[in-house]
Amino acid sequence: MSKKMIVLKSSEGVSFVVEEAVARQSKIISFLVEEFPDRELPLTNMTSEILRKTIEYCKKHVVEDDGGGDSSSSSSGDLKEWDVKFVAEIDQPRLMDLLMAANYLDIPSLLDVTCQKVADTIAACNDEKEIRATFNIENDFTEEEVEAIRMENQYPI
Amino acid sequence: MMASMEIYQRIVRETKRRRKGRREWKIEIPNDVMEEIVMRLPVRSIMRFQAVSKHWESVIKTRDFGARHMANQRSKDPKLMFVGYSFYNICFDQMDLETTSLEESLCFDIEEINGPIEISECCDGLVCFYCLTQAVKVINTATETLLPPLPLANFQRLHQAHPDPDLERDLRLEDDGQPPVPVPFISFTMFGFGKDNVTGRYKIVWLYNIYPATLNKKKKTRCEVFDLEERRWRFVTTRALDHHHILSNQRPPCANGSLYWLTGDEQGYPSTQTKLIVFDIHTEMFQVTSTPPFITPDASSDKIGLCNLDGRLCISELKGDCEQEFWWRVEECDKWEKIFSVDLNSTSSWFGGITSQPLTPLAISKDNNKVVLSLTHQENLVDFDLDPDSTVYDLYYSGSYGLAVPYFPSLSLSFSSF
Repeated sequence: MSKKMIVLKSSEGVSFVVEEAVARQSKIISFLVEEFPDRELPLTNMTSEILRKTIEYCKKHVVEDDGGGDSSSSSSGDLKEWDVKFVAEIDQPRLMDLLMAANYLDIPSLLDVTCQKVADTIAACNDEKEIRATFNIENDFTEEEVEAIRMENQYPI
Repeated sequence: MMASMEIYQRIVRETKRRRKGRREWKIEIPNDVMEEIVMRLPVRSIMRFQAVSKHWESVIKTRDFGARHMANQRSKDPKLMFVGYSFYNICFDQMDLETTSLEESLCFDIEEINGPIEISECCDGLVCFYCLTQAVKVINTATETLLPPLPLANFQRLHQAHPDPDLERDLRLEDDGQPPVPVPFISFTMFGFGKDNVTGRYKIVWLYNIYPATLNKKKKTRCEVFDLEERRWRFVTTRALDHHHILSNQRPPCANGSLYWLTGDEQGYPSTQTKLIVFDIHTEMFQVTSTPPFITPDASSDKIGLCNLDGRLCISELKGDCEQEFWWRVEECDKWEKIFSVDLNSTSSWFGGITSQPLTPLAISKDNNKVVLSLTHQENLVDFDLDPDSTVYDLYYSGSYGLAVPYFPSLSLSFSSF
């Protein structure tokens, strides 16, 4: 039996033909495939680049999941290593786009790895000013309030 | 989580709204997504993240955020916490389970210690440390929050008045001329520390035997409970235990809202009529049950191991042929499942040649499918491959590590006022 294929269309109008099992790792696509079978699914807020990346991730994970049942610990370890490499190779702006894509398409494992990668970036920030600048968060604290929080968190012992 | 259709419509909407041209990458991240990110930060960074904005300060301080952070931690491998102490200070070292590298270390001075320090099991990142006659202290080592010392338990005051003669001998040189005063003997055990799954409160449960029954003619087994929110010790009924005694020197594990002990003989020594004592932390009721069917009916209680492994109650038995068989209770299907068995002849070279005492598994590494094993009072930790066909034992940690507990860094009690 040949595998069922579905078509995903990026914001530039580029069509990607994907195995249904691959695309179904997205809970949204899974839902849409059932609601609108045999239709092209327009993902109009995803660029071809990000969609290609997302599909690459899903393909890797569907293959590994298929081998399941007797999947040895090494294969899950390899997959983890692959994930780390996958997010390490993406620059910050695209990583954020990929994270948002994982959130919109509801792909829990991709959301997890991208969030973890961004969290690692935050953890490496020197202070809250750097975090605010990176994430465009407005500072609504006075200097005194920030100082008070710092004191609170400093060795309460 | 939003309904799928709603998200789909959001995708369509946002697409229409989106401007053409090159976008600056400092995108607005919706708060719910940002929360997913903040949850994955190390605890120290989360504490610092509070200073980012008022919104984030308030989010991080909610109970819900703490609970979600904890759930996220639990989906990963635990850390190992090594606790070492000298006369005047105590150190908590957090080790990564996979690499055994030291991640965090917290040391601080304490008042002079009178006897050996014990640590409780770790519950939601909280751990208690104490010695018999000194106040119990509760600490969250990740946020470095130390609760005020607890008042002494009745049991501790009794112990101060009538010190254990064995303990006394260790501390003081022989005092000749003084006839020994007969004292009521208390056979004690470490206390249990766990969480009431219904209310989310943390409780310390101290169960002990007193004999001869001069202090109280009827009850030989007593139990004191300390609720961290109530902040006072109180007795709970031990009627269900009337014909039983607890085995000395056990650290009762907490699993799924209950604490567990094994029974011993009248003096707290191992017996062959071992029963399992269960205490429901919410209802505060005791129950005595038989050991599960896979335990040999007349097994001596010092050959039975009891612990929390990966959130489940794990019971093991060391059989005559130096084989220790480990089982755990799978709550979801209400069944006992055999997890692995260990040949103690293979581990004894790391554990001082001992094959007669059961090992305690500390943690399972999900990533490596390995279990880390310890032997009380011995140096070194050994890991064992859980693959059913494998019989590979390795030295996991070499040297002395003090006391060890599996541990998940958390925000628990960091924002409570005491």
